[in-house]
Amino acid sequence: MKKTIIPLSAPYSCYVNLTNKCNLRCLHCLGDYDLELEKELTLEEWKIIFNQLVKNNVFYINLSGGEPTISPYFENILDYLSEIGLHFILTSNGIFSKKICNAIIRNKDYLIGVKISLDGYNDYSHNFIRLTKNSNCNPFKITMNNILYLKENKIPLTIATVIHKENIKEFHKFISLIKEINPISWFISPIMPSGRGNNNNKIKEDYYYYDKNFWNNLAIMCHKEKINVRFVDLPFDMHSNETIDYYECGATITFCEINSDGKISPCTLCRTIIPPEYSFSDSLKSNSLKEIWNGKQFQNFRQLKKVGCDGCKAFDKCGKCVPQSFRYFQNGYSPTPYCIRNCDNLNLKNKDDYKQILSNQGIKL
Amino acid sequence: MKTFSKHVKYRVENKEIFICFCKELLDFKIDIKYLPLIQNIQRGLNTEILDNNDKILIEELNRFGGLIELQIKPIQKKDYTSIYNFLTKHLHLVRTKEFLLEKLKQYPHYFKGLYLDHELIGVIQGFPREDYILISEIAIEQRFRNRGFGHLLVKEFEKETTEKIKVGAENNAINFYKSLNFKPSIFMQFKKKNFNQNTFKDYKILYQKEYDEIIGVEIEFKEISLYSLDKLKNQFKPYSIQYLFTKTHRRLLSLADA
Repeated sequence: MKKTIIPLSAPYSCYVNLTNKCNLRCLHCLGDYDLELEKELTLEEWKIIFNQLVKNNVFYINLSGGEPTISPYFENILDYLSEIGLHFILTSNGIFSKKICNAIIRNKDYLIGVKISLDGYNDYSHNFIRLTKNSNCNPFKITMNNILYLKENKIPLTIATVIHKENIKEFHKFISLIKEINPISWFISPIMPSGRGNNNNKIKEDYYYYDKNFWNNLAIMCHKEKINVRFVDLPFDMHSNETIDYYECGATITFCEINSDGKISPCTLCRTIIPPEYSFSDSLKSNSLKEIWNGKQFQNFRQLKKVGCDGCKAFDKCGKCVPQSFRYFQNGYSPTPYCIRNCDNLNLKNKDDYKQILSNQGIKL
Repeated sequence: MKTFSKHVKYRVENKEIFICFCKELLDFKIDIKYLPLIQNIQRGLNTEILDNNDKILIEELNRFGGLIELQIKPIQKKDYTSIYNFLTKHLHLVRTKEFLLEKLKQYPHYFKGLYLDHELIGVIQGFPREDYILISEIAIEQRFRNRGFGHLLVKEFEKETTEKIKVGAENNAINFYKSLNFKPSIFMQFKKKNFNQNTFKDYKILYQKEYDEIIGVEIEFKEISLYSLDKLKNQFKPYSIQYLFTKTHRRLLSLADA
């Protein structure tokens, strides 16, 4: 099967990884972030890139990492984004100093919001998936202090939570804390099968990921407390058309990721999962954004989004998750485990073969 | 006059216009037929003179807080410190504050600020010299460039005089004056000991003046490009070189015709 995908002339938004370096070593980290890369972009190179994004009418960027606040240029970059009027979201683990807080506050004009990871309602459940170099460090405490300080200063906040073994049964308690924080949105997602998240099975709670009733109840509880909960990479996040759920991914269509070494890939998972022969090596150090966006590597990726999955009723609408296809089937054109679980609804062909391959990898559907 | 708030951006995609309210991450798609209207809003538009179809779109943009007041106001002496800081932030060379304050006192009508709501985003100022009015400084905040706001300021400045207007352009502004139909010339300065009048025999000299150890020469030069400027720099090896741009008022043009 083939379908038509019309990408935008330039990305609508970009994920921007300011550094590969991180001040934590979270067990679920999909990027396996730790130390900085060999040739990370300098401040001057970042400025040239941001100017290019403005010139190409990119509407906003999402600053991320690693931990973006430990980039040596973090404060300069925020000031520069304000100077050129490029709107930004900041995604952080919340482990930063008051000086960083104040840099965020002074640049709030062009800040869309700060997205902070909070993975439990108390020290134990939040810190369960965190590793720090300093055993005296309590990430939960530091993150909560910063969340409350930013809130006091009227910074729009969103909270990102991954589901793990120690928080999944405690969501009713977690809701109280979220209510107190009162974020614009609460994003809940599963641990992705990438980076350290691929190896640390002891923290995962697979079974519930696909239990729609469980998430339905959680959504109802949040709704009662006026919390805008959003499920990411879970059935609810996929576009629902009565009984058919499908992926709505805009990688290479509406967005892309700029990594700290200047290389551009469709998304973080593409960079971390897709094997080297398909890898995304084009760099903004030597090519323009437009050249890469319209170049061969992105075109090849779009081709993969256009082919497969045989028989699927949602095929024309689906923005297939290509890296998951590589992760489980090493080919880029097979369906995701979620789709295979719903193969009857979707009318997917070859379901038994797919299930067998997943079963061989220890994945129960 | 109304224009887009700083949080609204737009672009054209596949015969549609995407409008994004970036702070709220809201977006709209509208038909490409509205492009002239959208471009006019971007530059600053009097929304009271629109037809009904356009008014509906304006109301919709207003409803989401997408439009904001754009005003050109006279610069007040009491605000001049912030105006001066604005200029030094955006221009390479600015005359001294004392000098400019004196000119503001003498010629307040040539000093204007551009405000988006209450935020200063642009300045134009000048004063008379011999037989013309000099635009001594003009600057638009970087994030509001390429929206036509510089044109607005120059047009407003032009309304204040029927004399010839001149401006010395920073290299990154030469296309701006070209787009305003200002006529180019080249102004060079030489140290007296390095100056040789004969080297100008192939050029029409429009103006020449000696002061202290410096000689300033303005020559007629019709091409507008940094390449040409570089070529002249190599040819004459002046102490300094820049484009000058001149606008002659219709009154003076008709006098010349007569």
